[in-house]
Amino acid sequence: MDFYSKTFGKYDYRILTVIPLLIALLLLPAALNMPLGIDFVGGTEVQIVTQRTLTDSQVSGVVYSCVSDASISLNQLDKGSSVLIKTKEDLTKECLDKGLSGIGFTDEEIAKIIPSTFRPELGKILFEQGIQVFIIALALMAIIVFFAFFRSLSILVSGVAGLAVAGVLHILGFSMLISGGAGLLVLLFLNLFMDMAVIPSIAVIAAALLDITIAIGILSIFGIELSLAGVAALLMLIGYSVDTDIMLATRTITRTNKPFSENVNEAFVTGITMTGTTLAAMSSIIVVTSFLEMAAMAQIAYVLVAGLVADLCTTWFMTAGLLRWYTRTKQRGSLKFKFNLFRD
Amino acid sequence: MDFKNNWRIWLLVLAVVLSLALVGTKGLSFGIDFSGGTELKMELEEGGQENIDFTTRILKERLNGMGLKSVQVLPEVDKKHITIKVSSTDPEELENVRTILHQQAFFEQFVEGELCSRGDEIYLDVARPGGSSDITGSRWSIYVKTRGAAPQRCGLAMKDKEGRMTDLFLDRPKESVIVLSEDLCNLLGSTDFANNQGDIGYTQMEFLETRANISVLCYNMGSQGADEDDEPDEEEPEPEADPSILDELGIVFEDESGAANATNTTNGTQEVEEPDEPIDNAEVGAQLRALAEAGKKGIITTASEISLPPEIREVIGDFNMTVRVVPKEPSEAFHSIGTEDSWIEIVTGLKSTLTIQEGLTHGTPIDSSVFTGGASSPEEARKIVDAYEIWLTSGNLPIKINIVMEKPNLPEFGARFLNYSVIIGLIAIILVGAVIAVRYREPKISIFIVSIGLSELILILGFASLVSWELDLAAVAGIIAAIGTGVDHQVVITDETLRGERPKGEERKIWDVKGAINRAFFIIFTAAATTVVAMLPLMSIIDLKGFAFTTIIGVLIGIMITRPAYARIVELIT
Repeated sequence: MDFYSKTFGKYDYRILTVIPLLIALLLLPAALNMPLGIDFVGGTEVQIVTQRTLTDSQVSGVVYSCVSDASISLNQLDKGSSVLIKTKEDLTKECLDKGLSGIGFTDEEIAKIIPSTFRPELGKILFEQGIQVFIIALALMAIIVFFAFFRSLSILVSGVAGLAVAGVLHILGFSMLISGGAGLLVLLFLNLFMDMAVIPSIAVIAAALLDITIAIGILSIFGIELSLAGVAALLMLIGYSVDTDIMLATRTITRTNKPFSENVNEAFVTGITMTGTTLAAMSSIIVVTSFLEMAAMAQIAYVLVAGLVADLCTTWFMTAGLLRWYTRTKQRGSLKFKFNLFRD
Repeated sequence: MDFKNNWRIWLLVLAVVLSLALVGTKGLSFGIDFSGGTELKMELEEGGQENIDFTTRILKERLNGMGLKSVQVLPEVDKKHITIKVSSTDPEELENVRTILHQQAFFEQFVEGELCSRGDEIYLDVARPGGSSDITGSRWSIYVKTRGAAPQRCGLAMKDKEGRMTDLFLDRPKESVIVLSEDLCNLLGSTDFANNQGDIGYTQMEFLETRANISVLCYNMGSQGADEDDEPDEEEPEPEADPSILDELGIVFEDESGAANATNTTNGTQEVEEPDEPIDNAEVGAQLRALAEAGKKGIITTASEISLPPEIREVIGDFNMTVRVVPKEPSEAFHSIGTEDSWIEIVTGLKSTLTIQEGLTHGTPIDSSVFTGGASSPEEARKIVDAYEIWLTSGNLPIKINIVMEKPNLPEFGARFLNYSVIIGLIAIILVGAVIAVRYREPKISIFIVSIGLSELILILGFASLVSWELDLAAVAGIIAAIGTGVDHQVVITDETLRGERPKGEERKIWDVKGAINRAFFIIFTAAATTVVAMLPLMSIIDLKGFAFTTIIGVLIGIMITRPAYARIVELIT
């Protein structure tokens, strides 16, 4: 099983390492302009279940007499039809009622149809809440990963130093972001000059961040709107992304009796199986939701498919590249300013 | 199989059997995504921890009093919004919910039909050292003050009424008329009303008309005679004097319903009043018309509007009166002591009846007083105090609340979502199984991986059934996430121990299965920990709470039960 080294071994691993980063940078503008769904920007959703058999033109006639843009999903049931209308505009009950009575709905039937209005300001609150939750989740994930590969005292030393720098800068009046960033840089550089024990953790965390960026970018390009379910899916993606990266890092770091390339080859087979099963499950959602509007499920599937494709690239190009660099320099012991005080 | 070494596998088998039994007997409860219902979002004009806690408690109390199948009142973390989920998409029921949510509760204290204080005049004595309430053992006390015209009014209303009753109402339907069939009227007129042990001398009909101040009209049902089975409640007086509760003010209302509840006995005797002459429905209609002209806006009855005589229906139509139906089963008593949901309490909004103690009865203005009583336990006493605080403050709810979103989920859509979720699950199992089969070309491994994945699904559902967790679309997504991670981790375990194809024979000898499994578990635990911590903050978003919860539970079940069992299985088949 040497598919990985046969296919990618002929390229310089340093070039492979930066490819995911370049893709992410390329997709960053699209990701930042991600179109948002009505949960976040406000709008109207209407569910209609009726004994009548409605046609596309009837429904769109009613809807487009009220709003200029909407997504309409019409399903024929055994007896009658069901309609789901979503629009970012304000679809008022008055206008809808008028349209429906125009195609023969009785007052009694109309009374049962209540459009649900999502207020833009509530959506904004929800979106901010979503971002907040997301950042906290990422930070917690980073802390766990950081300590999972706590192989060396150097991490503790550089961590304390970074924290001290951040603290001092913050006391001196710098903003949380600047002092935190500076502390992180100190941590990184100090650790790199000591024994680089922080590299596997950094690789895993960076892979998750890039996966998210690339996934959002891809969805944005395809014009898929992000909804609240998408936030859930992105958090799922963190889990799946970290799974493969941790597996790869553990295999390559702990099995030192084997050459790096053999470890990566074996890990690749495992990783592809992991990603493959998840993709298989997601494709079942995509197939089924193409028959029935199930927006939340479809959203989760789209986010995960995009994210897992991204993860193939980040894990097997970037993480693998960083880990190769890490294991090589460690074995050679050739980092210039390395001092061995804290080596285990 | 050797039990000692394979206990992990047996544990899994046991857990699966238990889960299946739970799901089979207790069943699963589905959220409004699947079963249909309406989600409403309320916005408080002014946020804050205290405001939202308080409003949540009040809304819960009031919506539960409506008798809907399922009501959830969920405060949001921004302390400014409350999400409410009700299991109804019926326009009329929703209108009721909206009314309940908008309207502020109105508290009234009456003394034998005379108004003593209203919600805007009575307030908790929060300035009192030690707080406005006091619980000693199972005795509770609430300290209140009155302002405006209330002290004067209460003083006069209670003059010379030591030992008599004062009734507390919430949302007493003062603009409604009770309309009942003759049989029910007779029953009410012949049954004693007693809301605590000192409460004597009133029939239930007299309570409605004189103490609750609500007009009652009785109509002739024609030839249909209802066979009412009545069990009036009457309790033996059991004086329980506790001098210590007559506190320094000497101004005490005593609630003895808690104590009387225990000695509640039923009295089978029934006195049937013979009507002198048949009721003329035309006359009843005229009476109702007069009441409607005088400003009554609605009627309360036990049966649907259709069953009322045409003379009454005509008046309802003419004045566009609202009809509130509070059904009553023939076997049910109109009133039973110590309950909150008997017919009279629902209809009148009666919350409590207390005995007026000495010290209040001199006719002088009363500006501070104590409500006090006994409960069956300190916990019960706490509940009573909480309830009183809600009654006494809901009329003057400090914050205005608005409905800012209303989202109906039609049951027809929900049922299809559920069906399609099941179809998705089945297709996913087949596809994932296919990927595993192609990868390992070893039917044994494929079967084990897929069946362990299925067992994880069963365990999650069993847990949901155990804790009565409502499954919604988000929870289904969580189940997918958990099982997906589970399959990934089984692949890791399999590959660590079998390492795919391992051709070299000599390696087999030195290959340490336990060490491999340890390494697999390092990967699994780290990955599981990251997933769990990534999900934790999500618990704060109400719509995604179900997702986060199911994922976390699924991952925990995975690392504690299914993964160890799978690792053992792999050890056995290598």
